[in-house]
Amino acid sequence: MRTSARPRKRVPRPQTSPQFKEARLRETTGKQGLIKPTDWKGRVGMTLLETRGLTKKFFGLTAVDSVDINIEPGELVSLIGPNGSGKTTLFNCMTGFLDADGGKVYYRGGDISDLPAHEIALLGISRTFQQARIYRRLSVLENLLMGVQEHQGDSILDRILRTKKLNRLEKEAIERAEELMGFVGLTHLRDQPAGNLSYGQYKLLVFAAALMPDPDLLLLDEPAAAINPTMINKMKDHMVELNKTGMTILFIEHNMEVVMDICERIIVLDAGRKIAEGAPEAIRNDERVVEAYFGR
Amino acid sequence: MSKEKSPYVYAALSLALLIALIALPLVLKSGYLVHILIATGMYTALALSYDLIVGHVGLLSLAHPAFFGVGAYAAAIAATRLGTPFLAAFVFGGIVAAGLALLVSFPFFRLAGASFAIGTLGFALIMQLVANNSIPLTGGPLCLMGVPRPRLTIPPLLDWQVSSTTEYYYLMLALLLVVVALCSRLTTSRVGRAFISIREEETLAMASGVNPLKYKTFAFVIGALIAGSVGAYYAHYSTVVCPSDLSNYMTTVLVIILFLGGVGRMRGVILGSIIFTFVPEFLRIAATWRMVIYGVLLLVTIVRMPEGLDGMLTKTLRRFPFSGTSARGPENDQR
Amino acid sequence: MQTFLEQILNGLTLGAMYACVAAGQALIFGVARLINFAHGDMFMVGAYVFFLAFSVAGLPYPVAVLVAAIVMFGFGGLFERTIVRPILDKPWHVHLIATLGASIVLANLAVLIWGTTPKQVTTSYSATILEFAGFRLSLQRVILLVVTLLSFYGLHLFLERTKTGKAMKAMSQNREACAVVGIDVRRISTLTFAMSCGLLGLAAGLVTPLYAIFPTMGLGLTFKAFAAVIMGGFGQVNGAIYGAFILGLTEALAAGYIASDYKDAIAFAIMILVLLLRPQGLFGKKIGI
Repeated sequence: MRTSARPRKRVPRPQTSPQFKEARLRETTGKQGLIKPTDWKGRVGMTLLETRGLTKKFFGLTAVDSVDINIEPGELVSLIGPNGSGKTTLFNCMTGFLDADGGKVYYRGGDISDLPAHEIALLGISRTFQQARIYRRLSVLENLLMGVQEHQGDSILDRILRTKKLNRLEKEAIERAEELMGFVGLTHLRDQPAGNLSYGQYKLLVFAAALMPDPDLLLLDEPAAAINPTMINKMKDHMVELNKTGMTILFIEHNMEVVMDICERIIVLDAGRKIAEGAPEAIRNDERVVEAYFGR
Repeated sequence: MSKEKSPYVYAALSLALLIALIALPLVLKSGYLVHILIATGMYTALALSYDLIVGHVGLLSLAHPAFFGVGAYAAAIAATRLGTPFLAAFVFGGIVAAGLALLVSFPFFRLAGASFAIGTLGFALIMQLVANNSIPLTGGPLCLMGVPRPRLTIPPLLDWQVSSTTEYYYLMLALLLVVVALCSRLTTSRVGRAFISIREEETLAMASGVNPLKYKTFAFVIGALIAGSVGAYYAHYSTVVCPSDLSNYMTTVLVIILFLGGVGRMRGVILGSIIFTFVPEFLRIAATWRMVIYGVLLLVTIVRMPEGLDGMLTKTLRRFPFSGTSARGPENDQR
Repeated sequence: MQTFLEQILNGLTLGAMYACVAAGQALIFGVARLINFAHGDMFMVGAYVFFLAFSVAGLPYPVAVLVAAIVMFGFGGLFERTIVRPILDKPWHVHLIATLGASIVLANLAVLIWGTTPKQVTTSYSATILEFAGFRLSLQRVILLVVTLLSFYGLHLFLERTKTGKAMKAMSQNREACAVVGIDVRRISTLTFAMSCGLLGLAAGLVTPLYAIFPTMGLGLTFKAFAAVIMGGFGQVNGAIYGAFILGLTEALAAGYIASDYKDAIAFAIMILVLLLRPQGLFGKKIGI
């Protein structure tokens, strides 16, 4: 059974090639001459994801208050904070699911603040949701295929006419899906309706689906929530492994063990504001953080 | 579930069915029965196109009769005022309906769920209004008459003057086969998968890169295109187009066909079309009574087993439309 | 000037009718989060009940109106218990199909029973023409306006002052919280439907002498009422009433000065405009009814 999502041998990947991504990025952010997208190892020096003064209000309640975040390529960062501190809202603003009321979001230097969610997804950013969302009526395999089919550059005509190009892309997608099913250990459930899965298997599926388009930036919303300790360890291992192969990961988490164990950097939110940022040891002892969690 | 049928068995069955359909009017001596078959065929095509919008994407549109009517009137006007031959008028009807759908999709897709339904209802009511009142254009309540019988000419292959009911039947059959092929292709392709993703979990679909607006518009427009084409056919079949042809009777029947026949599943839709068109026509149940019965049926089904709807969907989709591949054929067989 | 004032009056009458339908629609939406596609058809039923009571049974006019209101009150409650309650927690498309089914049944049963020919009812009031300031209006219109405005005021008082009314408002804001606090949400739901339909019955009794009734009038009314509800901001009763009057006035003025054939299209146009430009409704954003 495979234990790595990035095999040492070169397997044909779905067509999310660097050239393709670059072209898309240029199209959507209108900026010429961007630094080439990261290769496997990531590239030091160009901030992958950046927010400046991001603000979001709901009916007078400020959910996200002027938050600045920088994520460098190759990092493994955790976003923590008490319930209601705005973490998921921040995710939603960054990925185009919510319109921010102020501030900007940049991806590889391009302004993505006004892009709709589906276009941001095509830039190489993959996100999961707090309530594990999957297509219950589709099989596990089809769930995974859904995760990548829009990223391969086939047209509606290709799809209707079942051109050679489409058949090839579909084959590649299936191969990749099987690769990922092996990675997370869901191969035996390949044709099962996703609605039949246990909660832990859900989360693995969600995780695998997010990996399908070979994203450069992975945003996970509470990957370790509500699953048993064995599964948690599995998830931790997967995340560390992926990060080692160059994938940048930013994840929201409440489980402090996981957070302290695997990340290099932690960002803390409280009541919509960023109150602290730094290495796990520093955060653990930071009195503002302690106060935020226990002091009220 | 059941094993994947061999593609050859499938082809053989389809061929047998096709032969049966072709032979049917020759076996049935009654012209009235053939007429019912034609009506059933029209409704099947309409239901399939409606299912694209409602069943696959999940948009509850009440505007279908409007697109049918627009196609009918457009084709009729072209044929009577401009002397357009059938094929051109047919295409024209479909395109006008599709264009209109594209136009109204802009405001309507800003609306969610029930508001969208109401919006499309309003649109249907407006189209009825226009049909009734634009006398110079549509003839109003006195109907638009005198649509010439179709004459299909594709020189040098074809010069077919359609006049008998049986000939109309074959024309309808050809149209229906095209519609079935198109819908089947669409729904088992990646496009169909995208439709379903929007219907099931639109947020997740967006996170996967699916542009909901693009696909919703596509389904809506194709649905309207087909409805308009059927309308164009209808105009040439009955040779008269009246404002009453845009009434909500059609919506009722389509909704019943879908929800009782099987939403999102082609076989269910076709079966539903046969049951809810052929049978009542055959039994000569009056239209008003039909509506009452259908309404009660809808109520009973939806109230007694509201999970029945979801449950039906789950049950009917147990055999997945894609089975892991988007193309049928031995080279894609995975095992 | 004369025509203008007459059109205004027409508009107000029309508006009052729409407002009765829209207010009930808004109430139901607020409390049950359900769009009742059969609401206009219930108005139609109320109209026919009134017709039976007045023209067929020969009851005196006020009694007949009351009968219509009471019968529809019961009908609304019954409808809620049998059809709405089992599906209340289901997704919206279930609601839509169910109420659509009800609408179909009601309209077509009416066709079977009464045929498609519209029915006219004349009361002594509709025949009585008042004359003042140089223009003429039938007493019926005055009665309609007065009674509906009083009813709306009464509804307002009910919602603001009575315990049940306040419970309704609370439910429209947060249903779960109400259940937790001990409010009988199901009883209130039923009552809301009953009240909305009772209002329909009352309105039907007032309006029928002015306009003819026919079995298929329901769907168009449902649509216009919904347009008014949207104008007023989803689920706000007051907003729906204002929206309805605006709609009525616009229709009457357009019919008088532009083209009377297409006046029904106005509701559609307004609705689309509001939804596109100001989706929260014309009358601001309040939570609940």
